[in-house]
Amino acid sequence: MNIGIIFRSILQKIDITTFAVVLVSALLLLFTIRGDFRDGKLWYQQPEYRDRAVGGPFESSNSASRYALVEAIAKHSSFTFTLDEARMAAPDMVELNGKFFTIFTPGISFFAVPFYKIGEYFHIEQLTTYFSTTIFALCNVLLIAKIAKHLKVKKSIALIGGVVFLFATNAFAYSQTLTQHHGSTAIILASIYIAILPIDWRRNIFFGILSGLGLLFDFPNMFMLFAVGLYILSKHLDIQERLNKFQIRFNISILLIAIGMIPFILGFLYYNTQTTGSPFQIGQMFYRSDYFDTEELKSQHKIERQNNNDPYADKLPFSTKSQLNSGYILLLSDERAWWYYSPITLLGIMGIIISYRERKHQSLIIFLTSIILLNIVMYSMFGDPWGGWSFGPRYLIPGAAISSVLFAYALERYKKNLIFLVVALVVFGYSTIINTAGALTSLNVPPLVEAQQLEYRIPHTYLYNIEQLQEGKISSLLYKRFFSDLVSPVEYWYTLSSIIIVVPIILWSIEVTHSTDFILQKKIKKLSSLKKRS
Amino acid sequence: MKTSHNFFNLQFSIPRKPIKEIKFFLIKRHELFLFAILLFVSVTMFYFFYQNGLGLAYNDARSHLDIGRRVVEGLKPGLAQLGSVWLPLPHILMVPTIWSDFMWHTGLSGSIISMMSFIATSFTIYYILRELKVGLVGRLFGVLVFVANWNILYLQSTPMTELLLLATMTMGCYQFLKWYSTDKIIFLIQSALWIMLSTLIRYDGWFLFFWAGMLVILKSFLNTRKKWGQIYKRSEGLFIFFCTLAGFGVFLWLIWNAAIFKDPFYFAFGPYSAHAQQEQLDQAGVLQTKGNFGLSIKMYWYAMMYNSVASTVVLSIVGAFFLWKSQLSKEIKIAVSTLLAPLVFNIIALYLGHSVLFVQGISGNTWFNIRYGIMMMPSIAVFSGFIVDYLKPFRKVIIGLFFFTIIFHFVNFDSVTIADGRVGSSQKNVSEVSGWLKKHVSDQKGFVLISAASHDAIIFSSGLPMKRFIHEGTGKYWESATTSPDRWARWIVMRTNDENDQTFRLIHKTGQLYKYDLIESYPFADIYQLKDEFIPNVQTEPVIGKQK
Repeated sequence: MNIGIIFRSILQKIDITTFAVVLVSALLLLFTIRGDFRDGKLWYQQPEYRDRAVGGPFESSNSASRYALVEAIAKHSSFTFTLDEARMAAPDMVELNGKFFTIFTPGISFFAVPFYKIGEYFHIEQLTTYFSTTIFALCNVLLIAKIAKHLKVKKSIALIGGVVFLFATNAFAYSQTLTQHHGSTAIILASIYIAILPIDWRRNIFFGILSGLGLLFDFPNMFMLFAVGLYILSKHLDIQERLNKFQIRFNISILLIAIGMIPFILGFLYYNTQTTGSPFQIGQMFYRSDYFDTEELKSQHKIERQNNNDPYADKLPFSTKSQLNSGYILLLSDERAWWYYSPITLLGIMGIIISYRERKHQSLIIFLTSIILLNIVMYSMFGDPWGGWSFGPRYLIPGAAISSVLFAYALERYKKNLIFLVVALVVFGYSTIINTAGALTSLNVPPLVEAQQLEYRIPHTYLYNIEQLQEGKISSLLYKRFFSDLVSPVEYWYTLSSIIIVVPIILWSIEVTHSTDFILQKKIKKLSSLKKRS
Repeated sequence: MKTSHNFFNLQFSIPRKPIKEIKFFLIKRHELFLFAILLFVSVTMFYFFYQNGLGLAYNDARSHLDIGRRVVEGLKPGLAQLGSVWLPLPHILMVPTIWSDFMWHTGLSGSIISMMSFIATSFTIYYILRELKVGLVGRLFGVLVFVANWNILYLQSTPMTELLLLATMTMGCYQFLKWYSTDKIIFLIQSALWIMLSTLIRYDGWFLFFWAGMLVILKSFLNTRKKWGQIYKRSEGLFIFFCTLAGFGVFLWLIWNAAIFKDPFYFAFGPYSAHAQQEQLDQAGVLQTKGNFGLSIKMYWYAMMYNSVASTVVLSIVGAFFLWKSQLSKEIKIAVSTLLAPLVFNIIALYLGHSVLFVQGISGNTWFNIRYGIMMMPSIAVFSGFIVDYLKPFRKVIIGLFFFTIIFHFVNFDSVTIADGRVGSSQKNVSEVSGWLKKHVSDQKGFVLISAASHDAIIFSSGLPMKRFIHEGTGKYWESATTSPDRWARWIVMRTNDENDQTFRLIHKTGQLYKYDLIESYPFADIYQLKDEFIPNVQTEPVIGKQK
């Protein structure tokens, strides 16, 4: 078969608007890729050209630790670190029986290994490894649009939902890291999409695969996937009241979920055996290693651990005692709350209200709401709601994705309501500007309590990122390579934000023009038919 | 259920009749089942906290038991032993069982009251929700919110007064709600009775009495069709009628104080009153809430959140909002406000400096009196039950999230009340002093001179009968022993050089401490033993006759 024909048939299947949005999103992400170009050399790619500089791809240990595992697997086929890799992963690594390994679950690193191998060929290992996250980020745009379309949201508006998530929440900043956030979000969104489709045994297997991956990506994913699983289970059970009996129908294909999950669970058990020595012990059950700490710090940690030998100490990482503080940090404070970092997320509430009032798509909207609430409630019980030094509420990224679906739903309803549109545009603009600043600078924003203790005080909010841009500090590789002589970092930030803000406006225009055309055409047809009759 | 693969469909049917019968049976007898479950939970929890030793961890728990015990046993038994430090009802209710050493030392004498109150409060929450036209699921959810809480389960297992207060106040609110919605006077009488009982447990009840009294006046004004004169007369009549019964407890307490301590306000301003304690704290600069309204609200808000699980509080706030927006009559909405009385009372008490409450992280490193936050638990349960019924489409989500949270609450043993009793200022590990007394005093003759106000926990934990102790409530024994200790006390337990310890203050004046050897020094008290040469002259039998 002619290659041209194949290419043409693929093109015919791909929707041009969707393709354009993905392409533009990818291009925009390209402008925020982290890196450096020093002495004519592309930095961060090989061990000898890398550091943990602020704003660099390895500034956070949660990226560096995962990257160390990728390198360990790719270079010496091992789950445990060499001393250099351990140094890179510190402090997010465990030292056990003379072995060093990452404290995180290994899924993200496993997924990134092929990308590392490709990069090795071109000597751009770090760039290609981090590209694995970019793929998840773009998938999330599509998945949000898919789910929104299921709520009878028009294509262009549905895609706005995806764009809102990717660029107007802190998901933007985390699309240039090697962290679990985009991967986990993709797993959860894909699971939700499967759950809302009609029952099919292949989908159940696929949900099993996603659950297995979710487990490997990040342990708390299991709680959210469990909720999705319950929804799927409810669809498999049907009880009908007949004249003199209850007719129960149960689709046992739900059991196939286990088939999808088992290989991943076995893989995880094997990984745990290789690292902790026990299939049922994971890295997060152990203390972070202080191998590279000073003697003073080591003795301090020892005392702290001895003091923690309280028999009534928390047995699980989630505790209701933390809810007051953590809930405040995630929902109300200027440190990590949505209203401060990405208020556009809150417009998703409009979607819930519309559905409740109009009694449309209630079951699905309630299902989506429950996942957002679960996300919030779960991390409101977590002792470190800040996620360490980070940008925005990074643990709520899955919730932000689902909220973007609800936003798209609300926008579909109010797409011609001027007040809503103005509010949405202003809030979207604000959210985009803030999160672009995050994507272009350091993600290491300290919690207030830690910022107050610093010798040189830095802001505990996104003001830190803006401050960096104003001081000429920027993380973008493309800026450093091509634009540094043309524009200042602040101008680069403004320009990029402006371009992003235009994207949903174009999509909205397409939709409104299309629907107006459609209505006009309908009216013209009606008129002409009336004329004919007369 | 649509599927293209019928191969996977498992289909069967169950006859409708037996299912309907079971359902009918369960619905018909669900209150009995609820009672059985609550009873099981209550007894199991008592046993759990008894066997791990936490049941009597609170200093106050042991003091309550001792007060009850002193009424029936000691050198000067009698009702006067009820004293004025605490309101008397919990101790009066202990009297029928506290004579038994088993009931006294296991704490069961007091715990059994808390356990019964736990069941009663749970049922009252259920009935309040029924009064609010909430369906069965919402009613049971309200009860679940109340029951599935470590702080409640702990307090219902101890001889503390919280559960009894919750029961009487909640029952008072329930009857008041019924009166407000039906206008039948019998409910007002019942409400007044429960409120009167609550005024004899803690001062929170006094505020409820005041609040309900105001609402009694308001009720007549809600009927605008009547003439002003008629409204006024009816309002006045109802108010006096309500206060006669509901305020009877307050009246009795004032009379009691006047009769026993020659001052009707002795409970408020006496040397052992909360006011006197708070003044000491104020002088020490730790009564931060006094005069600071914002901090008072914040402190009680935190206490409430920590006691009731923050997400449940948020749920109940949403519930309260929807209750206000609901189609229920304005009478019901106004009457439900009585459930909020503890919130207002505690904030005012903190602001005026009549109460003290520490929250770890805001004021020091303890949870002292954090249990005051539990007072809002019935209200939280009611509003949570209401929201489950009101937002029916979200019912599964709300219940699911509640269970998700509660699993962590239980597995992590998340309880600030237990933390306060275990390691906070409300506990007193006196096992060393009491252990010494148990070992060296129990098989020898003679009295122990000790201040009950300072060392009730030691008296309780020693396991010795009350009649072995000479304390402030023993009349002539106390007077004699504090003027001539060598004639009456073979042992003295006190905090040396602490003027707050009555025993030290009085003994120090006599200058006769040289007749004693300091045997042991412990964190909470020192033990002195009479020197051998003075032992022949010491009284070892209760020779003073019956005292008035």
